[in-house]
This record gives sequence, C-alpha cells and structure tokens, in this order.
Amino acid sequence: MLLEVSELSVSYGEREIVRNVNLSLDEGEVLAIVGESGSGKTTVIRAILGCLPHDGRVSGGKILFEGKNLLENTTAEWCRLCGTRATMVFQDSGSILDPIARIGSQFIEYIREHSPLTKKEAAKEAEDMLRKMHLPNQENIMKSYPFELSGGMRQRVGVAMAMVFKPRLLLADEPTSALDVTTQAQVVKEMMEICQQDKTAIIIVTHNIGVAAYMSDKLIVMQAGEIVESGRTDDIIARPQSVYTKELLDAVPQVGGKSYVS
Amino acid sequence: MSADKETILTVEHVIKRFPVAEGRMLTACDDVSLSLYQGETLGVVGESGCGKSTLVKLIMQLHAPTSGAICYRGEDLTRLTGERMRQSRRHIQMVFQDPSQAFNPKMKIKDILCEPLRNFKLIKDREAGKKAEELLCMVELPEEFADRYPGNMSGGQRQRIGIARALALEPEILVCDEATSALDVSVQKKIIELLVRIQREKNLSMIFICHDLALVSQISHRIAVMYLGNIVEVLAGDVLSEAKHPYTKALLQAVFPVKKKGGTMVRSLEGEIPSPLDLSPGCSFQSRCPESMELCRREKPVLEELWPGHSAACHLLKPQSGKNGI
Repeated sequence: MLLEVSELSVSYGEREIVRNVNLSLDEGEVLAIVGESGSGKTTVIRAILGCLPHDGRVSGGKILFEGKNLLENTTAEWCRLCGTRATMVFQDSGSILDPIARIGSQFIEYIREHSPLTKKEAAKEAEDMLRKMHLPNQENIMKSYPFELSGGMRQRVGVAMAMVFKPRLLLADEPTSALDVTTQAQVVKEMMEICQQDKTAIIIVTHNIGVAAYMSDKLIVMQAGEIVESGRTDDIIARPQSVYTKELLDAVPQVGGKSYVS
Repeated sequence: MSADKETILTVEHVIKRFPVAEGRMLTACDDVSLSLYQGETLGVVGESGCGKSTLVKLIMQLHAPTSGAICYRGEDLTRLTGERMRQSRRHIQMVFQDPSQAFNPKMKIKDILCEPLRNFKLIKDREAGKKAEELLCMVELPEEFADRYPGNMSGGQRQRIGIARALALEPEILVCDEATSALDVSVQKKIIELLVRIQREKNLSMIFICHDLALVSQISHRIAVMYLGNIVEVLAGDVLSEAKHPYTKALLQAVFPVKKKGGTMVRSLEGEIPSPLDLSPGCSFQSRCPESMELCRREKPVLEELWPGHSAACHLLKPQSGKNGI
C-alpha cells in the first residue's frame, strides 16, 4: 500500500472541518474525491502533503506514506518528500510560478534544489518534461514569462514540474477547473499518460464528475467534511448507494440529457 | 418551430473591434448576426476569448459596435442616445456571473431589488418593502431576506437575488452571462429550474451565455456556437449531439460524460485558439480544423442554412448546389 489515511480529522482553530476520513491508494492507482465547495476535499489532500493553511492542523488519525506516518515528519523530512516523491498540481499553476522569472530559470532552480544536476543537465531535463507534456516549442517556453503563456499551457507547465522527479504520488487540486473544455481534455489526457508511464498514483480533487469518472479507479464522495460514499468508480457511477451521491449525479448536466424547455 | 414565433431582438452584421497597442485592432465580434424569438432561450457557447461576453455587452449597450445594428422590436438600439437610450434599457436586463461581486455590499436586499424601479421612478418609497417581498417570493426566497445584506447569503441565494433584481423591471429579454458557472452542480440545477419556471410564467426571452455545452443543450431552444468572434453554427438545443461543424463536434468530443471509466473516447483539439489580433484570411477555425482544405485558407465561409433550423459556416457543409459558384 502506497498511502493509507485512517480516521483523519482536520480542524481550523476550534472547528473540525474534516472528520473520520479513511482512504488507501496502491501504486499507480487513481483516486478521485468529488463533492461541493466547502465539503473538505481540498483540506484532505492538503493535510496529506502537510500544507494546511493558517491555523489548520490535523487533529486526529494517521497518514501512512510508504509505511511511514507523515504526521511525525520533521521539517527536513518534509523537504525531502515534497516536490520529489509526493508532489502537487494546483488549480492555477500560474500562481505558483514567479511572475517576474522566466519559466526556464524557475524550472531549473526547482530541479537543482532537489538534485545534484548541473544547470545544463537540469535545462535538458526540463525541456524533456515539457516535450512529454506535448508542449510545442519547448525552447520558447523556457524563455517565456508565465503571463506570456495561456492558462492551459501554464497548467501543463505545472504538471511537467510536478512530474519531473517521477513522484510516487501526485496530488491534483482542481487541476482543470479553470480551463475550457478542449484544454481540459488535453491536460487530463496528458496528465494520465505521463502518470501511467511513471506508475504514479494520483489523488484528484474535482467538482467535475465527468473528469473524475474518466480518470479514476476509485471514487470518494464527500459532503460537509465526511465521506458519504466510497468505492470503485464504475460501481458508484452505475449504482450510487447514498441519497446524496444520487442527487449529485442527477444534477450534472449531460449532452443529450433531459431538456428543461421542450 | 421558430418560423411562427415573433422575433424580438435581432443582431445584424455586428462587428466590434478594440484598438490595442501599436495601432493594431483586436476583432472580438466579426460580423455576427443572430435573432431571438419571444419566449425562447438562445444558448451561446464557445471557449474563453471567443467573444461571447463582448456580444452580451453589445446587446446590453455597454459597448457600441464598430458597425452593424442591434434591433429590439425593429428599433435600432445602437442609434439611440440620451433619455431614449436610458428608457430602452428597461426591456433588456442582465444577470451576472459572480453573484458575490454584483451587489453593493452595504445595501440591504430590499434596496438592491428596488433600485432599478426607483431609477425609473416606478415605485414610491412606502411600496418598496412590499415589492421586495414579491420579488423574493418569485425567486423562492423567504421574505425575511429583505432586511439582510448580500454578505450573509450563500452563492445560490445571491444568484437568486441577481435574477430578482434583473426581473424587477419586467424586461422582455433576460441576458445571463455565465449565470451559473460559479455555482455547484446541485445549486446550479435549482437555479436553472427557477429560470425555466419564470420563463414559462412570463414568456420571457433569454440569452444564456455559458461554456458548459451539456448545460446549454438542456436549457436552450436554440444554440449558437461561437469561435474567435464568429458564429460558426446555430442549431436546436435538443440536437446538439448531431452538430455538423467540425468545431462544434470537437467541443462535444472534449466533454467528459458521467459514464464508466473508458466508456467513451474523449478527444482533444490540437493547438491553441489563435490570437484575435492577427486574423488570417479564410475560415477562423482553419488552424485547428482536422478537415481543413485549401479553400478554407482562401475564403471565409458564411453562415448558411443547411436545413430549416440548422445553419453552419463551413465549406465542407456547403449545399451541393454551390450557391456561391464554387
């Protein structure tokens, strides 16, 4: 088992936001967490990577990654883990990029922070990753500033950076929610392709149930900080058990679905 | 179906260009023509940057078009000035995308709702409370909300207030610019049901701008698909899956349906949407079209009716007779 989260609870100040979350993930598996805004899905994956904002803290439970409880990690251990063996893709990769540095120099800095490569080797590695994400003109992109790229391209740069060390676990927080459908399809497919090559396990948090259904082997449905349903994605989509999941699936608009106006 | 309906708004060959640096022009809407029928919902879909929002702003007279006409019941709105223009705004009202930014946070809900009426001097101060309650009732919110501030309401509730305010003047046309995009799917569903109910009751005409193809297909009588400032296809909402234009087909293939894993092939379009700054001659979709031909680079296709109720702008779909002599 790559990752095992048991009885996880997270509090912000006095308020408990997430209660009793259990999940497990094997190597190369894809888990999707769906739910509405405020259901605590982002909080769960942020807890796993130890990056809860403000006064957020894990108030109970265990997070075992490759057999080690992450909650007992020292700062040095977090530094060795994050960015190499476990990485994260955010909703808007533009905001993790430095707006006044070129993509190339940030990418190289990131690679060298975690490895003994020379500048030249790191640059080659970065370009290879951009190529793997099917970005055209890698050299040009390396020379560009983040604002010169479109949202879709920035997101692919974000995925390329997250995948450069072939992590065991990729956490993706609404990676395609800010994108158009065509760009979303592109980013989702490329992310899947590259993760399958490297056998990286993914936890994707999304409110797009179509994307979750397409990507994931396992699915978790959250509501108000608790898991209301979890299991194999195909089973849940075909036969949802809880009332909430049924309502959620029913509310998703579908091409060719029932028309409201005819 | 639409032939026997009354046309309420027409957009005729509207072009909108914005000046940008170094004397260049950005073409946001390139010869757009549309008509809206009484009691109908017209969905407008397309990617970001395709000119949907510019089109809305032109219809709302927030921008003046570079050329072309926008006629409401036969009167060209773009030629109106002063008080007549102000009066014309009563007939077309708008619901905005982000309900948290659409209101003055320091105004009470009842003042927000009655503001349009006060603006047109249609209401006396002592009637305001009652009118606000009526409007709240119409959007299925409790009357107590009249004394609240927008800050302590949820996104869905605020969007209901947005709809109530837009309907306060009893407009004939309601324009919704991504009105449900910021909401969760279950809240979105309730707002859509509300809009559909109000439309039936008031025989309202709606223009519904949205980037969610599935949603648009479910709530629109007709759908206009936009790409790079052009309308490339117009068809009935319930037959969206039978779209003919390569761009519409590509959009449809990029939607992830809620089905079993690997249940459907999702295909993505190659490349990025070109910059609207330097438009090449010919078809706007040529650079990403899988079926682009030599003709597409030379000549821009016009929107032509394929059969009643379905038009597309594509050389591949030209009727065999070859009207333009090609």
